[in-house]
Amino acid sequence: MRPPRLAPLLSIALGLAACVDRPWHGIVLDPATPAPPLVAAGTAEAPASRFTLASARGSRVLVYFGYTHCPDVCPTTLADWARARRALGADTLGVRWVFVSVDPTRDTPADAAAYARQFHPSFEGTALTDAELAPVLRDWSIAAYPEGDPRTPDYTVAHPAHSFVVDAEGRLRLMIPPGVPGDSIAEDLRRLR
Amino acid sequence: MIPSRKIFAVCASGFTMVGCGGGAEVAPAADARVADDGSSIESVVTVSVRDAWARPADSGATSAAYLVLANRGTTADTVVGVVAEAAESAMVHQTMQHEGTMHMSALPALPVPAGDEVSLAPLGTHVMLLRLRRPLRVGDTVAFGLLLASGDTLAVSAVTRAP
Repeated sequence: MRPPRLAPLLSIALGLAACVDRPWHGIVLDPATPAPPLVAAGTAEAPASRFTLASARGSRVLVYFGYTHCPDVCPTTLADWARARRALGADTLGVRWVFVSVDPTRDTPADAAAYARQFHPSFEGTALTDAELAPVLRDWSIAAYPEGDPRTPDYTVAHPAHSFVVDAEGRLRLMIPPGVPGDSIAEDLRRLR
Repeated sequence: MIPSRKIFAVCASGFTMVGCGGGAEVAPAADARVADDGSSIESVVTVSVRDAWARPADSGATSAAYLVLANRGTTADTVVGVVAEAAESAMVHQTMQHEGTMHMSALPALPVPAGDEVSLAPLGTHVMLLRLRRPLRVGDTVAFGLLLASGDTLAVSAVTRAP
C-alpha cells in the first residue's frame, strides 16, 4: 500500500498558515500606489543603459537610496540583500536589486553600479544627477542631503534608512527597515509573488 | 596626528598582537603598577580589543571597522581618536536613524566604562577608514590605533571579511 502523501498537503497548509498568520518583516504600504519614477526614461540623463523602473515591470524590484562612500549602513543593507538572494535560490529570478546613489557630487552611475556589484554580480546601481535628485526625493517622500562640507572629500550623506520593494505591477508595496536579516527579506519577497 | 614616540612607547612596553580566526586580540593597554607591599599604587587601565574586522573596499574608498572594547580595569577610559596608516583619515563614527533617514556623525569621545564592554557593530558605532591608501580585500589585515584619553594607544589588527 502506498503511504499517504501528506507531505505536500502539509507544506501547502503550512504555507497558507504562514501567509495568514505571520506578519510581514517589512512595513506594508497600504494602499499600494504606483512607484514614482527613479529617473525620467528617455531623457538625456537616462540613456537606455540606465536602470528605470518602467523597464523593470514584471519583476519585483528592491530599491535602496545610498551613496558609495557610505561605510556602514549601505554595506550592511546590501549584504543583507545578498543573503536574501541566496535564501531565495531559484526564486531570485524575477527579482531585481537596485542601489541608487543620492550623492551626485561624488558618484556616477558607473560608480554606483561597481559598488552594488561588490555585494553580488547581479546587483544593479545607478546614480541620480543633481537635476534628477530633487524630483525623486519629492516623489518618493524621502530625504537625502550632504552633511558636512560637500567641497571636502569626507562629507557624509543623510539618506533613507529603508529599502523599498516595488512589485511586478510597479506598485510600491513594502519598506524594509535596516537590519532586517536576509532570510526575512526573502520571505517577504516570496509573499509578493 | 599622533606623535611617533607614543606609538614607540606602546610597542616598547611589551605590546603584543595575537591573530585569531575571527579577528585579533590585543594585550591590555597598560600594565599594573604595584607597590612594594603589593597594593596597587595607581588605577589600572586595562582596555583591550577583540573580534576586530573591517569591510572590503577599494583603494581611495571608505571602509568601516568593527570591534569589541573591554575595560577590565577599575577606571573608565575614553577613545578620543584613531590613527591609521592605511587611510588618509580615520575616526570613530556613529550611525543614527531619525525619522526614516540615516545620519552619521563623528564621535569625538567614546567612553569605555570600567568593568564594561563596548561593541562597535554594524548600524551603530564604527571606525571609519577614509580614503584608503590601498584596497582591502577579504583576508587582508588592516592595522590602526585607538587613542585613549589615558594616554595609551590600543593597537588593533582587523581582518577584512565579507560583510
